[in-house]
Amino acid sequence: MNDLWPSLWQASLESLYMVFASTLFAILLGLPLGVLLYRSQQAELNPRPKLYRILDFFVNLFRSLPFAILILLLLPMTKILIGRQTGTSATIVPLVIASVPFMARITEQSFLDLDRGVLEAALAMGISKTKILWRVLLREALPNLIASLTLMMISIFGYSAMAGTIGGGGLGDLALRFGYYRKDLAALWAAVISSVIIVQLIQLTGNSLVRFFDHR
Amino acid sequence: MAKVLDQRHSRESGKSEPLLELKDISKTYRNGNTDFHALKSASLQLYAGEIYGIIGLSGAGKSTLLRSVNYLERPESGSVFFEGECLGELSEAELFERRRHIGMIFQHFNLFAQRTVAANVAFPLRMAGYSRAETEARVQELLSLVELEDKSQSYPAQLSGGQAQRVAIARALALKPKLLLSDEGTSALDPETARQILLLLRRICHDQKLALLMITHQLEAARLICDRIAVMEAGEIVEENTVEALFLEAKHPRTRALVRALGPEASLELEPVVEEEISAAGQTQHSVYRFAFDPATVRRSMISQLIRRFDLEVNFLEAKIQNLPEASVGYMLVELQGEAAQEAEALAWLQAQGVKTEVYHE
Repeated sequence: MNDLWPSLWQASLESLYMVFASTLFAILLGLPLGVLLYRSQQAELNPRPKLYRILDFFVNLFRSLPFAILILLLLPMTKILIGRQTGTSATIVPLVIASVPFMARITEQSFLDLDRGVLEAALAMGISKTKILWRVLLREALPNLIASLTLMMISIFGYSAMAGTIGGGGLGDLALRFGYYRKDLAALWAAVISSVIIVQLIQLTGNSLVRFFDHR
Repeated sequence: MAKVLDQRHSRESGKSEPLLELKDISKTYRNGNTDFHALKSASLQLYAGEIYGIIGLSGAGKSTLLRSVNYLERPESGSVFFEGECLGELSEAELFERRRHIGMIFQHFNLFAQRTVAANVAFPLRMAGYSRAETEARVQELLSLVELEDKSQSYPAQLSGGQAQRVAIARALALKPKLLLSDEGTSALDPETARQILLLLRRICHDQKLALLMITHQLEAARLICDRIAVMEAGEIVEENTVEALFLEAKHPRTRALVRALGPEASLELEPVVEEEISAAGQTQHSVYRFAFDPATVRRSMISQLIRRFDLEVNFLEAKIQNLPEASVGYMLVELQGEAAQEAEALAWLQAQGVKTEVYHE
């Protein structure tokens, strides 16, 4: 039991690192991709159906791969990107590849869910399409976007439990090593409770942010 | 009355070139095998400072026509000329720039829900490059114009319908457009609030020489402030006239139906009970006449003079006067009893006074 608490702390930090880093990249890459998905299909914004079909296909493709498979498929790319195939940072590569399409879909859907009238009013004002997307629609969709993003982060947390397969650490790995292989039930429960706390915190923070940004 | 009509006339003919001209606008929505002809070769001219209403039932094409003005809907054929320029020939960037000279308000307001009232009104200004100081000054000016200064930090969710539409109006006027479009702007408001908004629009348009093109399915809204009204049905403009003329002499069946729907006091049509009296009069071989009074003659005591001058019995079957915002019109159905010669002289005298007379036919 002596090595439990430091390990627990270490594992929690690893999980949080994986979740936040992946989410950051997911937003940086997935948000613009989502905006592009929306823009290429929206009737009033000069849609480009061919582009949409291509993007749509690839987004679906990556969303359909089980995470466990994705880890393995991406090992060569991981090696190229960060120089190694194992460890916590290595896990971030497949996590990002899994969450970018997820984020793109979230963004696309949040924009599609907006009242059409807002888009019409913005167009009637003679503002460029780019400004409409980034200065009007994004802000109007923000509460919905944050709510969905919160769900995504919790999903990523779930995926990160598999980090153990490539030596990534994290709470999932801890639960497996201590709880399953060493049959240390106390450790297992400790890992589980820590996970629950983390997820609750993510959800609560997400809810607060939504309330903060939503003036309806 | 005549003075009022002159003012209207000079407002209309102040510019010989129309501010806005729609020529043969057509739009068809294709849905697999069926085609829905939303617009069939619709045309109209709108002059600077004029308030022009388009009325009709849902599905008549009013919204599609209005949206063609700023190219929110791209017409399939026909042209839109704004300030003499054909919008269809402009590049996308040019079109977007021209839209800043055309403001638009909507039935459901379409405010930015996540921004304050002040931020909503400021938005077009900021996007057009105005500084923060200039923007703030203009926002204050606009909010005063619509009487909402104390709500500048509220969010749209905290506003009533009337207040929200005022914000929308302020926002639409931010860049000093020459034309304002209203897509059923008062249809979602209760009658009293709608009235206030319409009167506000009229005041602003008159003060700022702003043209207003408004569509509505409520004739009472158009009647209150419009100079001219067009009636649409099934994608076509079926009748167009000044407000007084439309009420006095509605020609198209759709127009008559819309006027009738306003209620018995609005319509200048016959009540059923009167029809019996008319057929009774027909049987006694007394003539029934319809006298139509335009704004110049409606308030003069024609009938009492008629009775004093000529030896006739005058039996009133029906009389209606319609009080429109800037003029009144009316008509009477009378049965005349007396010598034929007296009748003929009386009719000639009335016509000389400017009253239109005709033998009444159903």
